[in-house]
Amino acid sequence: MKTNATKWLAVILCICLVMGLAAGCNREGSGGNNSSNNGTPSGGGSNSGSGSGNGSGNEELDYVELKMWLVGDKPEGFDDVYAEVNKILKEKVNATVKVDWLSWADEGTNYPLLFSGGDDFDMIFTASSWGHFEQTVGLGGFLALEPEFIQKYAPDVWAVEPEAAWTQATIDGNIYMLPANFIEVTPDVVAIRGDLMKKYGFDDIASYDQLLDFYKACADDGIYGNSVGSSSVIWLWAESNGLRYVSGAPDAGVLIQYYANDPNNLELDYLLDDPKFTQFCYDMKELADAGCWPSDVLSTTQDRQDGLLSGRGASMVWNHMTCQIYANQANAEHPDWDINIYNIMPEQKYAATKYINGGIGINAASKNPERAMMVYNLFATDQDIQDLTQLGIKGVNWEETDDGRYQIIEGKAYNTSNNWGWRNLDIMRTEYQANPSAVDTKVNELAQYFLDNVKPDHPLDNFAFDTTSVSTQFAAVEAAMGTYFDPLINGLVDDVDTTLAQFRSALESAGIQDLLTELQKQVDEFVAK
Amino acid sequence: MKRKSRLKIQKDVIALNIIAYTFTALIAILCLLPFIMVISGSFSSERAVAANGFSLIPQDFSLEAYKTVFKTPSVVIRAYATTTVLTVTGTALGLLLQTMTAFVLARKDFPWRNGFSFFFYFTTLFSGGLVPTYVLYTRTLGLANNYLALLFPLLFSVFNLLIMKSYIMGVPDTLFEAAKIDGAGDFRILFQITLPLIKPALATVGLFIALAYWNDWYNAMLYIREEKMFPLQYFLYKQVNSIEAYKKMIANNQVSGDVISTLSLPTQTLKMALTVVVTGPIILAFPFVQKYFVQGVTIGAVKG
Amino acid sequence: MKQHLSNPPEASVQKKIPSGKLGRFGKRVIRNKILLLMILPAVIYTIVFAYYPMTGVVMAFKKYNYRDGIWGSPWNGIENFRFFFKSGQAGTVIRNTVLYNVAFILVGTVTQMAVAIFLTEIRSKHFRKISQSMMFLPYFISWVIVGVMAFNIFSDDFGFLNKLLVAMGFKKISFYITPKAWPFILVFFEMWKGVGYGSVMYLAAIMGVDTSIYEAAALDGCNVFQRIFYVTIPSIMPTVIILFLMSVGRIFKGNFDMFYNLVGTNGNLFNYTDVIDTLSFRALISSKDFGMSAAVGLFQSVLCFITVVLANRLVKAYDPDYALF
Repeated sequence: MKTNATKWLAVILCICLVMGLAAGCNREGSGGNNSSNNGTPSGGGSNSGSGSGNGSGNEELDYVELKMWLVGDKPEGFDDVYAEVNKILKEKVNATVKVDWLSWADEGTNYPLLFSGGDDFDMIFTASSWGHFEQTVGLGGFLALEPEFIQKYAPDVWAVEPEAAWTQATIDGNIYMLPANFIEVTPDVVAIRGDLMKKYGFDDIASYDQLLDFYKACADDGIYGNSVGSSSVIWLWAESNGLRYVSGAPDAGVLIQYYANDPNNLELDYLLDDPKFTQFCYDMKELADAGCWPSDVLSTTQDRQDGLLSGRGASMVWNHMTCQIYANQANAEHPDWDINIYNIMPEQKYAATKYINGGIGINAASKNPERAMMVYNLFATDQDIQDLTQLGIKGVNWEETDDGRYQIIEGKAYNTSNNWGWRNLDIMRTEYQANPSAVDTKVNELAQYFLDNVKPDHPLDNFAFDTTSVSTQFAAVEAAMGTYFDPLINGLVDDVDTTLAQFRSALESAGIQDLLTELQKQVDEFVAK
Repeated sequence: MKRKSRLKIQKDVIALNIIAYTFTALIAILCLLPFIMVISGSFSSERAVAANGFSLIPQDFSLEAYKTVFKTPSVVIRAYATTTVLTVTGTALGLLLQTMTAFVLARKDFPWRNGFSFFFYFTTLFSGGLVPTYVLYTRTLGLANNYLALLFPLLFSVFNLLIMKSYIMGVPDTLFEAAKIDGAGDFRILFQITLPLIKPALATVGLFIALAYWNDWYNAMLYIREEKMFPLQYFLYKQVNSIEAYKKMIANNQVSGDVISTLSLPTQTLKMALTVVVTGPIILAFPFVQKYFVQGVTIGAVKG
Repeated sequence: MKQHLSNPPEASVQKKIPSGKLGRFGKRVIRNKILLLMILPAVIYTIVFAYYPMTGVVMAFKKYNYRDGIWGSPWNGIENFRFFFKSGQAGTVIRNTVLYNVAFILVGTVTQMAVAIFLTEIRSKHFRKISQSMMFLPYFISWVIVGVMAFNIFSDDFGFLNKLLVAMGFKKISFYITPKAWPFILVFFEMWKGVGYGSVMYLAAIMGVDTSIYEAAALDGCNVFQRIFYVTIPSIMPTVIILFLMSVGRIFKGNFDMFYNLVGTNGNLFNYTDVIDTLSFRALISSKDFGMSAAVGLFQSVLCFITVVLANRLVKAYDPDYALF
């Protein structure tokens, strides 16, 4: 019997081997195809080489249909809008785009598969971190874009895009993304119920400490201050301390931060070595014990707004735009709640989002990278295409007001989905609001205030941690964090000191020191440049 | 004498029935209650559920979840049709393939039955992961956007194969031998002698294959891009998950602006409604299969 | 080897093919040609759809990149396996995975068999059918929804159980910070979700039992309990053992959907609830390293392979007919 089993195992291994060879050959064949497009095109060389790319004199361009993947779900009316877009593209650069969607439901699986499966496409939406940018670059999925190449085929983009955008899009000395010329200043704010503030004697809530006091007052009254716990509060804490996460650091960067508001301070803040963080954990434990949120928040299926809307919680933390939506909604349903938006760090300066929070990558295996660049050039800088992709069709979905703003035609709004790859602040229109609510007014003020108080540039703003050389330690640290971090920052531990000590030793054995050393090395090199 | 023994049997039958009824009823109720919760949840409003959790009676009765599901009825109907056709075809082909193979593996006179069993079983242990499978379907076989990419992956399951084999092994060997001596070929032994004897097994494995097809969204997610071709489960899966994933994105401040329409859509109650929409037809069809494996065996004993 | 003794090569068959190993093999092929033909479609299917993609396991030893593909990417030795052991949780999660699977196998098998046996013994046809249909319902409730329902049962505020405790004058239990409760909760839900599906397999096996054996047992004066233990259970043993062996073949693999949806990222419970699959998910969620996830998968597969070969050998020693292969 034993010999029999061994024999069969041998047979199976042989099959595997043969299959492997077959698979290998197959792969090699396709690899060969790809490799012809792999090098960084330095302009010229292909049929479109003579195209000047500035939108004129396109007689000599052959017609191509480019394929673009966007992340998101196809909105209603999309086909009509893109028929218009394609008319413009056809006329100006003799090309059209065929757009396919990677649904939010499964883009996490399907985005990498497009590349590893060798699908044929030219352009794809990408964004730092959540939009697979660093991952895809690391795996060699995007075409490296030489500055001359960009200047030649997307000259208008090169002209409008600020230097910082290209720095952020650079990995290992090459540009891999066409970032949208778009940033927002969206610090976290708090939507709070006015009736409860009055009840507990708060005129205003304008500091982090006041917010914690408010939470406690709520708990004394038997209502949750924040019904989903403090996983969102830690960001408020960080922002109010002038900290910002190091891009690429473990757990979405939360573990290692830097003093973003002080350009002269290049120190890294490893939370476990920061007594302020220890204090934060104590504070959260105090709040949790007082009953500021339920003990089941770590497994909750509720979203941040659910507590506020349903009356279980007295406040929610989010950016001003999202808070605005829910505050308006809750006020409409419960006018007596008098919810408004509060900025709890008025003395701070505010960080803008990165340019690489949305952009377009060119597939390394694209057969028409030059034409893709020309098309992108129009997407990002042509007023008509901007309007179409942002607002839909003029006269059908929206009207232009006298001062160039837009007003949505009642009930006809085009639910735009993912135009984030080519948004251009220079030419985007702003909305005309006919009847702003109290919340709207406050939010508009805040938005202006944030814009007026953008923090000074910090050398590390455009830095991103490349974890390739410490990928083992990185994965181990991420695994170890899950056990301790969330309970700690939600105050759901028996003893803060014990858990902190356990957390520290778990991170040590996972290799946090290697990670910190490597990070410091990269930071030093980056700053030196 | 005979009377006495009958009485004795009756007594223990009663004892067993008490245990059996209690145990079965208890488990059945445990299984039913959550489903009632699902149904009532699907008819509740999202807000009420967020405030009070789910309950056995709908709170703040609302059809918003079903309105979201059936926003475009034609698409849902088409998805139902796709899934039904796929399930029927797949079950028929799969059952044939699996029974035929299991029949060979169960034959004690087939010299390589252990080897082949191992050959099949081995594939359940090791898997090359997603990428090579994706490459196989989309590039090597060119089946992207093709219904065959939904049919093939579930056509053959080693689990079902080995279950089927164990059932066929319950058929006495003497039957095969007798048939062979009568000059019956292997196909005749399979189709005319074995199959009629294993109807419960066919019903069971057929049910499993059918359920696998009916519930499959994963392969559609990988291989089907045309909305027109979506099977029911993927259509529904996509609906709820895209809303949820998008909400999560917004929650992490990763995207902003233009979000109002998504944020007001239901998710929790929508999930419940989807379960109802998917399960409904199966519950209606279930009794037709059920009769093959839910039968009593006490008849014989009582007669004695 | 037994095989050969029970089926001695038929010496009388003409010697068309020269004797010797190949010849004997050839003759057996010819004699079994119809059976081989019957098995051929499944063999082809398995080679194409299972063995061909299986070659992707080499990814576990590669530093994968898109451009070079699976086979062209550079080798990476055993580097991809290291993170799992470095995480410091490897021991805990392996222990949890195995213990949970053992509990699932035991509890699942017992309840499913009990339900199947009881269902066949119950007199009322309607009761049988209705209760059996009801037990199938959990199969359709995805783990995502089970997670939502579990939250409705165990959460602080609208948790059904806590409402009950309060109504009865007890204090609330904060289940989501009480790790020790979770093995019971998880085993319960696994039992609950699988009972309908699993019992159908045993029902079909019982239906296959020759009724004349029951009659014989009844004539011999067996009571129902004796009949169940001496006739029914032994008759369905082949099915029980096949299912058992197949479960053993997954003993190092955790049901990610279940653990993730019921426990989520609740670190407080991880000592009792973290399994290999959830750990590697967390570790790789941001880097999405193909090689590392392949490495964890391969590690699990190898352990499963060893375990199932040993288990199969034990079963074979007991009765070769029950073995998986």
